[in-house]
Amino acid sequence: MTLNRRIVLTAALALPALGLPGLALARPAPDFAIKDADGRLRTLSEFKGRIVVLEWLNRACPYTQKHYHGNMQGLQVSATRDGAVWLSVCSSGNWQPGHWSSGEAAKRWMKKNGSAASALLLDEDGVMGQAYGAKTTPNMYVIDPAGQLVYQGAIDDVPTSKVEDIGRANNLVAAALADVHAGRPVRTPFSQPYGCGIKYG
Amino acid sequence: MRLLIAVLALLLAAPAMAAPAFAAEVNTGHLKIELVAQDATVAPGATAYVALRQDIDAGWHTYWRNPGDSGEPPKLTWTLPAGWKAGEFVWATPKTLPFGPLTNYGYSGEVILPVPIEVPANAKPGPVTLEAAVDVLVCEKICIPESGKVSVTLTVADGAPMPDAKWGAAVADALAAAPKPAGLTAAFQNGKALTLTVAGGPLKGADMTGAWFFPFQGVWIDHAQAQTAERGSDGLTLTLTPGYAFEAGKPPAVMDGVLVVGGKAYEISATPGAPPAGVSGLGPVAVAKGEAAPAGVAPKTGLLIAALTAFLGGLILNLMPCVFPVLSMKAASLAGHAHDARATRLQGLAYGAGVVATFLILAGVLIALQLAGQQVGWGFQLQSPPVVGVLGLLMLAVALNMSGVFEIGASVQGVGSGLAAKGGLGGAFFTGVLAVVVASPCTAPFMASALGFTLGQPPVIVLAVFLALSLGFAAPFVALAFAPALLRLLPRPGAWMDTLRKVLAFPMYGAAAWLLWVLSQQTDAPGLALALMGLLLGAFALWIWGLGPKLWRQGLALLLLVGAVALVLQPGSAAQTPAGETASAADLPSEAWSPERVAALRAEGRVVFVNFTAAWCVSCQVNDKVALSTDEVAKALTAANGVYLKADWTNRNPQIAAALAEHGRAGVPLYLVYGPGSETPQILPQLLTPGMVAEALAKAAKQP
Repeated sequence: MTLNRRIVLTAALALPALGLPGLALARPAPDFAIKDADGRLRTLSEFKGRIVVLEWLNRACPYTQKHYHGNMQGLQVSATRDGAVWLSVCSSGNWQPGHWSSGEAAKRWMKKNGSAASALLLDEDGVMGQAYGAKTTPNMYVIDPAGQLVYQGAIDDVPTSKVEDIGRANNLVAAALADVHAGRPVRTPFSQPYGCGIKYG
Repeated sequence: MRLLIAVLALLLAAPAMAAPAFAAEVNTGHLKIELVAQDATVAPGATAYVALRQDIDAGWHTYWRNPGDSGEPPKLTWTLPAGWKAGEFVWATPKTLPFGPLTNYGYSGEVILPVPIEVPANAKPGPVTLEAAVDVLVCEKICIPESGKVSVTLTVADGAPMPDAKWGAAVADALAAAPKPAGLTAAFQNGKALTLTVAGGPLKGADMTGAWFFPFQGVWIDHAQAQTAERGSDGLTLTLTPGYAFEAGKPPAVMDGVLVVGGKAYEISATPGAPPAGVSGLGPVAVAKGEAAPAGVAPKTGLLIAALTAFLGGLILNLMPCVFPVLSMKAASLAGHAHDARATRLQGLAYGAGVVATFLILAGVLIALQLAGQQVGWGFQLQSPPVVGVLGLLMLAVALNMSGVFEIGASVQGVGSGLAAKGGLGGAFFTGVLAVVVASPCTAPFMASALGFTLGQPPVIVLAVFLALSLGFAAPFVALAFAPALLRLLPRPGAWMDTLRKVLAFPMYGAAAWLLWVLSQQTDAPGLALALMGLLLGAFALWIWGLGPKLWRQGLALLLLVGAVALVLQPGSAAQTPAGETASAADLPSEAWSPERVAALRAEGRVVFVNFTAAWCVSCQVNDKVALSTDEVAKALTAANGVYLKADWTNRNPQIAAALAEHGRAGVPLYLVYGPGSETPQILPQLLTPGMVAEALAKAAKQP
C-alpha cells in the first residue's frame, strides 16, 4: 500500500505541471522483476515505448474461466497484433488455488487454453500483485508507451461469472487500448474489478 | 428464551395463520437457497415481501450489494405472471470478511434478503407461483458460482394478509433489522485523508463501538484498510482510505452506504462538504476489528441472561475472600440488633441501599469513561495506586475500630446499644458502600461474561446489568435482616459479642495487608514506604482519638489523619515493570505479552498461552498458584513447544483493555491458548485446574 500511496502522491504532484486535461489517472506504473514460465526475469523497463497490458489470472477461478472461453484469447491476439505486450500474471501463493508448481505446468495450461499472451509471470510471493494493488482475477491494467498507468479495473462492465453475459458487455480494456492508439485520453480510466479475490500466499 | 417467545407468539397468532407458502429449495453443497414468503396470502393491489434465504455452510460466505475487493452479489431473475412486479433486494447489514490483504463485504451463516413484490390490482384469487433464476457466488478459499431455479407459491385472497407460519416472522425481522435512513447528516472531505462525518439524533451519546462504513459502490474507498473513528457529542468522524475514484480525481457527488455503530446500522448519504457540528473531540472509538454484528440481534437475546448471571454472580460474591471481612463486620452489627426486628430490618435495607447506590455510581463512572473513549474495564478502581493506598488506610481504620482502639460517635459505643439510631443506619449504608468497593477485584469469575456483555452496550443496559448484580450482592443480608426466625438462632447479645468483634478485626487487618501487597506491585520501594508511614500515622491518630472526647485531642487526631491520607496518596505508578518480573522464581517462566509478540510466535509455529492477570485479581492469583505453577503445566508447555505470555493489567493499560474487549471480556482473568494452525484461540475457563491447561496445550500442539 505504501508503494501505492507514493505513486498517488507523485502523480498528484506531477499533474499540475503537465497540465494535460483528461490524464487524471495517468501515473507511473510500478516497475517489477518477476520470472516468467520460461524462468526468464521480466521487467517493465524492458518494454519501454510499447503498450503493456497486465492480466491477473487464476485458472481455478470461475471468472477467469468465463473469459477463457475465447474472449480473453481474442483480446490477447488483437492487442499483440497491434503492437502491445500482454503479460498474464498469477499471484496465487504456494499451495493456494491456481498456483502452478512449475513453469512447465503453467506453459502446458497456456497451450491447452490457446493463450496468446506474450508471457505468463509467476508472482507466487505476491510482490507484483501488491505493488499494483491487484485484487481480483481477472484484474486488468493498461500501461501506455510512456510507462503511465492509464487503465485499471475490470475487463468489462458486466460483473458476472456467466459466459453468455460477455456478448452484452462493454470491454473496458479494448476501449482503453483504442483510446491509447488514437492518442486520446482514456475515457474510463478505472472501474471496480470483479471476480475471485487473488489468493495471495 | 427466543424459542419460548416464538412458541407463545405462535400460539397467540395461530388462528390468523395459513399453511406455509410452498417453496422449492436449491441445495448446492455449500449453501441452501430458497425463496420464502412473509405472507402466505396476499391481497390484490398490495405490496408483499418474499425473501431469498441463504443457509451458508460454516467457513463459506456470500456477498453484499457491494462485495468489496472481490466477489459478486446474489442475483434473482424473475419469471412472474402478467402484471406482477419484483423490486430490488432489501439488503441485510453485511460483515467485513478479511482475506489476506483483501477485504470483502458479505454474509455467513443464515441470511434473509427480502424483495418487495407488487401484486396487481386485478390479480385473481387463488394460488400463484413466483419463480426466479438465482445466481449466488459462494466462496471459501475457492469461489463457486451457484445457479438454480427457486420458487414460492402464494395465495391471492382479499382481506388482510395472513403471515406465513414458517417464515413470516423471520422475513418481518429481516425487514425491521435492515439498515434504513435515520435522518443523519453526513458529509465527506478528501484533504490529507478521506474523512466521513455523520451526525444526528440516533447518534447523540450513542454507543459507537465497532463503527464501520460500508459504501454502496466499490470504487470509493480502499475496503481492506482500517477505518478509524473518533466520537463527538452528536456523531462521529470516520477516517477512510480513498479508493480509485478519489485517486483518479473523480470523486463521487454522493457517497452513500451503510454506517454500522454499536451494533446498529443506518443508511447514510454523504455529500462533499464541511463536517456537521459535534462529530469529534471526544476521543477514539473502541475498535471491534470491523466485525459488525448484524444489527439489533445481540441486545435482545443477551440482556435477560446477562442480568440473571449478574444476579447470581452478586449472590456468590458474598462468599469471596475479599468481601468476607466486610461482611463479618456487618454480621457483628446485625447480631447486635438481633433482639429488635425493626432496627434489624432498617439496617438491612440501609445496607442494601448502600450496595445498590455504589454499584450504580461505579457503573456510571465506567460508562462515562467509556463514552469518553477510555479503554477501561472492570476493576479499574484498583488500578490507581492512590486509590489502593486510601483503601488500605480505610481497612486499617475499620480493623482498629473493631479492635476497640477507638469508637465513632456515641451510637456504637457498646455493641447492641445503638438500636436504630441515625448513625447506625448511616453505618450500615457505609458498610454496603465499602463491601462493593472492596469486592470489585473479586468479581471476575462469575461476572466477567455478564460485564463483558455490557461493554459496548447502550448505557441503559449497562445500568440494568449492574442493578441486577447489586441486588444479588445485597440479597443475602437483606434477607437475613428480614427473617426473624434466622436471627433468633443467633445468641442473645452479651459479653461474647465484644470478643467476636475483636476476632473479626483480624480479617480486616488481613484485607489491609493484601491491599498493601497490591500496592507493592504497582509502585516502587520508596512509594510503599510512604504508604506504610501513612498507615502508621493513621493508626496513631485514631489511637489519640480513642483516648477520649477532648476537643484538642480530636483536633490533633484529625490533623494527623489528614497527614496520613496525604502520605498514602503519594505513591505513584512505578515505571512499567515488564510483566514477567513480578513472577517469583517458582512460577512458570513467562514473557511479557504484546499483540506483536503473539503474532511473531505464531508465525514461528509455536503454541502460545496467554494469561491476562492483575495483582489485585484474587482469582488470577489462585489460578497462578493452583494450576499454572504446577509441574504438570510446566511439562505440558515444554511438550507442546509452547511459550507462556503474561499480560499484567495491575496498572492501567489500554492495549490489554482492548485485547480483553476483543474477546468479549471486561476484566481479568482471561486465558487464551493459540495453536499454530488456527485463527481463533481456545478460551479457558476462569477457574483453572492443571489438567485443563495441560489438555488445552496438548490439543493446540496437535493442530496442523
